[in-house]
Amino acid sequence: MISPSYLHRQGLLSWFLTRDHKRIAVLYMITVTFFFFVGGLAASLIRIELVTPNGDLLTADGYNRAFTLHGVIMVWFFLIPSIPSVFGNFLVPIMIGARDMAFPRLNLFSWYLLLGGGLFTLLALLLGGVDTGWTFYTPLSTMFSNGHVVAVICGVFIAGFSSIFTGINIIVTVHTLRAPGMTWMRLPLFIWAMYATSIILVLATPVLAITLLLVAAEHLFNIGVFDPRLGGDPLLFQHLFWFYSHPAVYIMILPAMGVVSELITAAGHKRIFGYRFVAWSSVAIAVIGFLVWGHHMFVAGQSMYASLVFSLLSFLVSIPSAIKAYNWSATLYKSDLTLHAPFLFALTFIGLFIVGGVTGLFLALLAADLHAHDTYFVVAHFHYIMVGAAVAGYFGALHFWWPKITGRMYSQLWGKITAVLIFCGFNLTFFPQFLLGYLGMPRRYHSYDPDLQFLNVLSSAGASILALAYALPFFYLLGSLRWGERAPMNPWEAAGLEWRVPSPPPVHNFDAPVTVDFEAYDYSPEARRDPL
Amino acid sequence: MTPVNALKVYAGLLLLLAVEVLVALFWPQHDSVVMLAAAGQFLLLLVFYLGLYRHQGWVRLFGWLYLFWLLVMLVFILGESATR
Amino acid sequence: MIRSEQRPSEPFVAWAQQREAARLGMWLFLAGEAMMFGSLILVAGFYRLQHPDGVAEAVAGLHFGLATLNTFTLLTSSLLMTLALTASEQASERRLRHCLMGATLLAALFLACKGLEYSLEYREGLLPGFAADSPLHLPSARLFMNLYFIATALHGVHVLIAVGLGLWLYLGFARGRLQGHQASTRLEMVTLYWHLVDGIWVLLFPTLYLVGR
Repeated sequence: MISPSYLHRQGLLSWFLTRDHKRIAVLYMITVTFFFFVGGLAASLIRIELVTPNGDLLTADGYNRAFTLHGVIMVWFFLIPSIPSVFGNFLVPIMIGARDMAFPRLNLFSWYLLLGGGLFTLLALLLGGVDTGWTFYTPLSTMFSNGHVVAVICGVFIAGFSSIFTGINIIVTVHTLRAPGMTWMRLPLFIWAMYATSIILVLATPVLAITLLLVAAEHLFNIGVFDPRLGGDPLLFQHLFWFYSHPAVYIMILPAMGVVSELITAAGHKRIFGYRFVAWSSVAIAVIGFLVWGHHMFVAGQSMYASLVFSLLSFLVSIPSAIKAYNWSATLYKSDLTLHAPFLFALTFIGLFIVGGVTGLFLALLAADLHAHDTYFVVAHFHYIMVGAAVAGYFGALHFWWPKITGRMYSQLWGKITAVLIFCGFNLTFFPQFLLGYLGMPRRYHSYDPDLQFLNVLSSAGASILALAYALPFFYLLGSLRWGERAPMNPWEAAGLEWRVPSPPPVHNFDAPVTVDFEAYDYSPEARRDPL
Repeated sequence: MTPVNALKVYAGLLLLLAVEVLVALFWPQHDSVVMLAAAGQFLLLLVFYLGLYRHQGWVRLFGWLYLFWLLVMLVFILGESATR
Repeated sequence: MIRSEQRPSEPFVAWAQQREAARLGMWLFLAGEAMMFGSLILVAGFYRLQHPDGVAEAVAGLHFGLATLNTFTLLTSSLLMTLALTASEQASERRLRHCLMGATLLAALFLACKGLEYSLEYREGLLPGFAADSPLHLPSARLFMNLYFIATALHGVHVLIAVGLGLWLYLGFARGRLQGHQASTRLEMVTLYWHLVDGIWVLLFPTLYLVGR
């Protein structure tokens, strides 16, 4: 007797009151997809404006509101929840052999918090907007901004609790609900990455909470904490803000790295090279990531000695990331490779992550940062990581686990086309921005030196290709729900507990209790063909 | 935790409170003594009432890490503004 | 959270597992709270170092006696919560309910005294945004005063939540709705929260009131 799948219809209300982690993951997926498109629209406005050197599409103030909307929505309502809340929620219990997350009702509540906070923020951003940039620097945000700063802060504050509760849920689930035999060193690397991410979610987000609270209080009551006239220090805001926001960028990339470990091993049908190194590198990134926030403030007037220390630590934090990249490459060597769509996304991730990561080192160098700070070089760097790598990781996860989540196969051809289009469109969009930054084009300006137009046009052209590439999956993935063939239990012949349950899984994941007596990625070497 | 031990910890907390208040009133230049007493109270609460003493392994490690983080932040705050 | 008494709630298979999960979850939440208040206390500490004269002026006007009484109140309420927990372990219902009510009442007393303090400060014209001119001369004194309000208000909100949790538990025990595993787990979790709220005050009190007099 086959248990009904978790998707088995029970009415709309059953979705809004569900406690099933898989349904909550789907709810999150719909929500973050919506916010992704909203943020993408804002990005389109920006790139269209920048086709011409004059500020002719938007006023300067309007442009400020556009990039603020883009940043706030993309960072807090797409990137941070994307992989943890969608794939973390869906996969963590299944991968460890559990029936659900530790706190199912808290899980649902987290989704409502994200949805509520997000809609409220979006409303505030649209009905008047905020012109401070997603970074809310003082004293602009506290004294001079003529936008709905406090409203946007409230929305982000609420969404922050969604992050914290999701992090708590994941950590407690991994500690207490692992199936018998599932030791820490047998966990899929995705779980290690999610665990490290959750540590950051729990410990860093509260600092954002207090920072936002102080900005709101300053804005409303002029308490003076960031106002020099009352003895306050605007630079303190930057310390507090980046203390959260730097670990936040690791929240955005670590899960994608976990995804890539899964994609690489599945495509190569081979055990990961250096499991312990990759596992501990996630933890190392999380820990060291808490110590480098000052590299956003090299030119802000902080102590030179502090800058020295931050520069050194920023170089150190690149080492665990590099370890992962080397280990993924070593995993692929002499592997039995299947070039399916998810794997192409993994390759996209690795290529773009390396460029993004190395350019981060340029910025970590004090002398170079002096020249590159607040230019398009920085913009290109973080987009290579957050969009090139992290979004590729999200799309890779989408394409890899779609058959498991929905029970349908999609068109491999279209998946591969999307991956290639993303790679080409992305590079065309953002590589010119490195050059623009080097040539001195400042960020957050809606007009620029006419000599720089060619590179800007290239970038905007690339953005249109990227927009098409991001829109494509909307059609063939949704279309697969209707016309796709039914997915088998293990369409990729991958290892992992999620591939031993039906696609889509039954409500309680496992029909019989699971006992684990195998290592992660236990692909048998005999099954590998001889390399040509 | 037995009621007797709870009362012992309570007595310790009140003693440290008395030290804090008295030093603040009569020897206000000795700020560090006050803060040390406060740190002592916090540790008493953390270790005994919150029950840290009962936990081994990871909890203890996280506890030390948190205290280490506080130390790092203290050093950073003092150092950064002094060397600007 | 916990539903029936017959079995641990989904997806746990053993009571010890569920208890461990609740404990770890609450600890992680408390760690987050500690990060939030820790940052705030460090900010207050930073400004104290930057502006010792302004701090001295502000602190001189604070209601030192009332705050000391409040500290004593909160410490005692923490003791009572611990005693409530031991009473629950020793299965003496009456002592449990009395300690619980005592702790809750003391926390409410803390809030009342805090409210009294705030009303005194309001009359002295110290609240930001509510008085045209502050009696404090140095701008940094006003800054420190405002930080005092933010920190104690945020802490006060947490004490209010503690009072709510205490009442909820008391009613649950008094009406016999809370039994067995569910009861002891919830009591333990609320006790942990209580101790952290107390711990934060223990650090906040000297930072705001005592140092720099």
